Amino acid sequence: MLTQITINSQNVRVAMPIKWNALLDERLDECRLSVRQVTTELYPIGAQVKITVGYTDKDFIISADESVEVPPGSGKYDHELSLIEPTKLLEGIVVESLTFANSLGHMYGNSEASPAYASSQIKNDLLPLANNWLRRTSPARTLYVPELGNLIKFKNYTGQYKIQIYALVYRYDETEYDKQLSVINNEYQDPYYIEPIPIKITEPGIYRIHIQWSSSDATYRFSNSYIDYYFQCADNLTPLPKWNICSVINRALNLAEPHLQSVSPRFMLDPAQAAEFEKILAPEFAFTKCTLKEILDQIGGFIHGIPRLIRGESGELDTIHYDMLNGTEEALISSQNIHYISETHSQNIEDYVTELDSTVDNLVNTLNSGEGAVTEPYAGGFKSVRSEEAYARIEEGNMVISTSLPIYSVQKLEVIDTKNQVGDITAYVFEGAEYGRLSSFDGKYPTSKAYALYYNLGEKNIKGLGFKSPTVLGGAGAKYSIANIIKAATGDDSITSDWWSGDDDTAGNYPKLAFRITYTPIFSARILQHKPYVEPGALKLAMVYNQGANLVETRYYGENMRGAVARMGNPEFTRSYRMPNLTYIPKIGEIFKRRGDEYYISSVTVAVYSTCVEFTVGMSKDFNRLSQYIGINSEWRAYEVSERKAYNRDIIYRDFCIIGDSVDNDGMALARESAMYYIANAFSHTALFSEPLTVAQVTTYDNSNKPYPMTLPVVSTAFGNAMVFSFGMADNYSAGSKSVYDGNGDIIGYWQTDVPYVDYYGRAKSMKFELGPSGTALNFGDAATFTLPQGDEYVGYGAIGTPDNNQLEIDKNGTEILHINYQLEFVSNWNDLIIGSALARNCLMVSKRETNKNGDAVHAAAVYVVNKKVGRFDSEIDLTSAMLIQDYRNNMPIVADSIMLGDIQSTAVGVAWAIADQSTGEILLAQNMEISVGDVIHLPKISLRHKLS
Amino acid sequence: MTHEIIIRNETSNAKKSPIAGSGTAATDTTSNIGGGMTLQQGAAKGLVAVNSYIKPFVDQMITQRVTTVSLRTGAQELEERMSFSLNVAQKVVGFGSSVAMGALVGGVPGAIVGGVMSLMTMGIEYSNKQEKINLQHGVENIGLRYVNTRAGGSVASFSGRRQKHQ
Repeated sequence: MLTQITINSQNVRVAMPIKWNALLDERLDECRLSVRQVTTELYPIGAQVKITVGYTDKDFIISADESVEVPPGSGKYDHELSLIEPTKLLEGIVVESLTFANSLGHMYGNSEASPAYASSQIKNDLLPLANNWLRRTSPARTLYVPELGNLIKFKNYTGQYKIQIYALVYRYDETEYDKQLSVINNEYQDPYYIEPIPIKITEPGIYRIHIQWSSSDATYRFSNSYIDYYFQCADNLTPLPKWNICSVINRALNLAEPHLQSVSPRFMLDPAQAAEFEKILAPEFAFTKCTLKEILDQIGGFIHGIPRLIRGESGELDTIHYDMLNGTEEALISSQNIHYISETHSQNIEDYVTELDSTVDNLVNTLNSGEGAVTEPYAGGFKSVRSEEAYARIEEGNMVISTSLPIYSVQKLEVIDTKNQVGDITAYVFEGAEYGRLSSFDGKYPTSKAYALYYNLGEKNIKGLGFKSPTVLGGAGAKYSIANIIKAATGDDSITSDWWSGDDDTAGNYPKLAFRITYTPIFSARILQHKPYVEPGALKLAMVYNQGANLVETRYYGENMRGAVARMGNPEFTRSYRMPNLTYIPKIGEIFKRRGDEYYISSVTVAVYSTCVEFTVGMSKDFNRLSQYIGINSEWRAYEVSERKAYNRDIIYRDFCIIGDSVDNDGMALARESAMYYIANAFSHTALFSEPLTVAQVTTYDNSNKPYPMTLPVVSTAFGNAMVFSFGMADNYSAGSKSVYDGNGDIIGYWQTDVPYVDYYGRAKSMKFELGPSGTALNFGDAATFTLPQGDEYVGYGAIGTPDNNQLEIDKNGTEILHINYQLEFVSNWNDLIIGSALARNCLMVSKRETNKNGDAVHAAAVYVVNKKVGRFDSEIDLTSAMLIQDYRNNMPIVADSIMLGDIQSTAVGVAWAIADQSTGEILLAQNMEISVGDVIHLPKISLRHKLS
Repeated sequence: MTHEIIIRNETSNAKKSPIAGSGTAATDTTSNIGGGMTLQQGAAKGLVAVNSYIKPFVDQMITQRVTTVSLRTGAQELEERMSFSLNVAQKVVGFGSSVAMGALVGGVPGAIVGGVMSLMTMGIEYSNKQEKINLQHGVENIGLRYVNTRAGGSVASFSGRRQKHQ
C-alpha cells in the first residue's frame, strides 16, 4: 500500500504498521510512529506530521518523542513518536474573557397597551367603559384618542342633539407640569360613531389627554364630565441580530489572538458549515479565560458537535470543523455487511448505571414561561401581606407580598380589593434596577414609584407597597403606592385610611391586603433520571451526577441528564476488519446497525500494514452528548449595556525586543521609534527619554466608527524580563466618571455621570491608543479637570501606540469590561546571552531616573569584563573585581533600525562580559566568553518585532 | 449662715402692669368689669389663661392619643392623617386666637392684622415646604436623567413586558 510520511514537510521512513485511533468524544485522535535511522536527534514538539495512505491524508503533530542512537556513535537515531491531532494546538491558545450578550432593543407598538392612571369625573348619566389607556410608541407617530363610544356609554342619549367634543393634549414636563400642546374642538351628531381623533406626537415623553364634552340637550348635562388619559411615548430602538453559532465562533476565532485591524485572524470556521451554523441561535455564552479549545468545546456542547482543527483551503492548519454527533449516516461496513475478522463484547460495573441522582441549585425555567411557574398561595386563592422580619407586627411600613422562592420574573400579580374585585396589577411590578430609575416625586405611571412595586432578581418578595411621594401635608397628603395601584386597577379607593375615622384602635385595611402571584422562581431540586429501558431483572445502580452552572435552565439540564443516563453503562462491542485500503474505515459518529439495533461508532483504531489495513471499530448504543450546555439562554438585565453582570476582559498585546542579531520589524509592533530611544536610555540614563509612560490617550470606535476619546492613567511596571503597561475602563459602559455642571431653575451644581466608551449596545469595534509620559498642563477650573477621563488630552511623544489608521481590533460586547495590557518583552536569539531583569527594571519607560547631588544618573550602565563566569540566573556581578571597559553614562547607544550597543575592544582579561548597573552591579546583559586584552567584543543589537518568527 | 430669698409678684393685683405703658388713662377706654380690669383686659386675660393652662393640657392629651396610633395599631397612615387633622385644628384655633387677640388689642383692624399674620405664617410654611419639595424633585430629576442615559435612553419597563423581548 502506497504510504508516505512527512515531518515538517521532510519525508521520513517509518516501521510498519502505522497505528492511529479516533474517538467519539472530547479526547483527541492519537497515532504512534516508529521512525528509523534518521540524523535528527529529537523532533520538536508540535512538528507537523502528514500521513498519506493511498489517497487519504491524516494530519498530526508530535506530542512526544523518544530517540535512541543506533548503534551508539553512528549519528543515526530511532524515534518512537507519539502524535496527536492538530486540534491540540487550540489548547495552547488562552483567550481573553469573551461574552455574547444579545441586545435588548425596544420596539414599542400600538398593540402593547399598558394600564394608565385615568382620573375622571363621570356623571350619573354616563358609565366609564375603559378607564385605562396607555400606549408606548415611537415618536413622530400618530396616536388616536379612542372613539368615545369605546370609553363611555351615554345613557338614554337619543342622538337628537349634537355633542361637542373638546380634547386637550398636554405634555407632562418635569418643570412645567402640564404644557398644553393642542386643542381639538369638534362637533358630532352621534357620539357612538365619532371617528378616533388623531394626535401627532413628535417627541418622547409623557402626555395627558383631557377630554370634555357637552351637549345642547339640557336634559343630559355632560358639560362637567371629563376623562383624563395618560400615555407614554418612547423611542424605538431596533435590537441587533441575535448571536448565532456561526457569529459566536467567528468572533471567538477573530479575538483568539489580539491583532491589528490590518492583520487577518489565524483561524476560520469551515465555510461548508457556516451556513448551517448561522441558523442556530446561540445562548448568551460567557467564556472567562478559557483556551480556544475549551471555548469551541463549549459551543460544541450546545450544538452537539466536536471541534477539530483541520487543513483548510489554504493548505494550512487553520480551519475549525465540527464533527457532528447526531449524524444519521450509516457506515459502509454496516450497509454493505462487510465481513469482519473478530467481534468482542464488554460491560463494566464501573460504568454501569441505571439512574442518575442529581441535586441541583439555581434551577430556572426561562424557555417556557408556563412551565415551572409558581402560583402563590394557589390558583384561586389570595394571601395577605407579610413582613420580612420574623415575629414582627405586620404594618404599613414593613408589608411585602411574600414569595416562598427567589423570583426570576413575575408573570402575574393580582390583588383582591375591599369590594372583592380582582385586579391585575402585573404591569406595576418592576425589577429593582428599573425601580431605581423611577421618580420619587413624579406622580405618573410608569415613571413614578407612587405607582410601582418591585422585586430584586434572585430575591424573595415583592416590595415597595408602602412608598409615598412627599407632599406639603407630609404623609397625610399622599397615598401609598399600593393604594394608588389598586385604585387604578379596580377603582377601589377605600383601602386608604380615612382622614378622620374616629376609630383609632383598629389595624386598618393594609394588613388585610391580599394578593395572588404567579412567577418564575429560582429553585433547588433533587432529580432522579432513569434509563428509558432496562432489562427485566437488571441490577439497579444509581450514580451522583452534579453540575456547576450559575443558573441552570431546567429544560437543558433535563436533556443533559436524559442523554447522560442513556449513554452510561451500556454494553459495548467491537468488530475488527482487514481490508486492502482505507475506503471502508468508518467515521466516528456514523451509525452501525446490528440485529435491529442502532449503534454509534464511538472509536476507530487503525493499523496500516504494507499490504493491508486492519481496523477495529468500537460501537456504543445510545451514545450522545446531548445538551452539554445547561446554563440559561439569557440573563435578565434592565439596561441595554448590562448593569448587572459584566466580565473583565483583559486584552494583552505583546511585542518583543529581540536581543542578539538584528531582525526586521514585522510592522505589527506597537512600540515606536521613541520606544527604541527609551530602551537605549536604559543603558545611559540621560535626561532625554526619562519620563515613565503613565498616560494613555485612548479612543474607542463603535461600529459606525464614532470615536470616544479618553485619557486614562497607566500602570507601568517591570516583571522579570518584560515591561507591562496596563490601563482599563471603569465598567462595561464607562471609562470613568466626569463632573458635569447642570441645573434647572434654581437648582444648580455639579453632577457625576459616566464617560461612555461604547455605543448604545455596549459595543466598540476597535481602539487606538498611545502611551506617553504626560498630558496637557491644566489650571484650576479648566474644563478638562471636570470632564476627565473624557477627552483627548495631548500626550506628546507617545512611545507606544497603535499605528495610524490601523487600530486594535477589540469587537467588544455589552457585558465586557475592557482592560488593556501592553507588554514589551526582552528575548534573545543568541542561545548563550544572559538577560538580567535589571534591563527591564532600569528602562525609564517604567522607572524614574535617579540622579546624585551632582545631577549625574545613578543607575547608568557600563560594560565590564569579569573573571568569573556569569550564571544564567545571576542577578548581579561583583563590581569590585570587574573591569569597566565602556561607560554608557550620558552616552546613549546608537539607535537606527535597531539599537547598536557596539563593538568594543577589551582592555582587560576575563571569562565573561556584562553590562551592569554601575551603582548596584545588577546585570542588564551578559555573555560568557574567553576575553583577552585587545579582543573585540561584539555586543548584541536590540530589535523590535511583534511575532518571534 | 443661711440666706433667704423671697420672690414677690407685685403685679398680681394689677397694681402694676407687666406690660410697659399699659393701664394708663390714655389707653383705658373700655368699661370696668371690677377688680380694676376693663372688659378687654379680662377677656385677654382669659384668653391667655386658656392658651397657657387649658390648651396645653388638652393638646397634650389629644396629641398623646394621636401620636401613638401607629404604635398601638400599626396604622401609620391613619396616624399621619389624624396628626394632620389635629395640626389643622390647632392652626384653626391658633388663627382664631390671633384674630381674637388682635381684636382685643386693636379692635377690628387688630383682628384683621392678627388673622392676616396667622394666615401668612401658614401660607409661608406650606409654600416653603412645597418649594423644598420642588427643589428636591428637581435635583432628583437631573440625577435620574443621567441614570436614564446610562440605561440606554429607554423607559423603565415593568417586569412582564421586558421578559418578552429578552
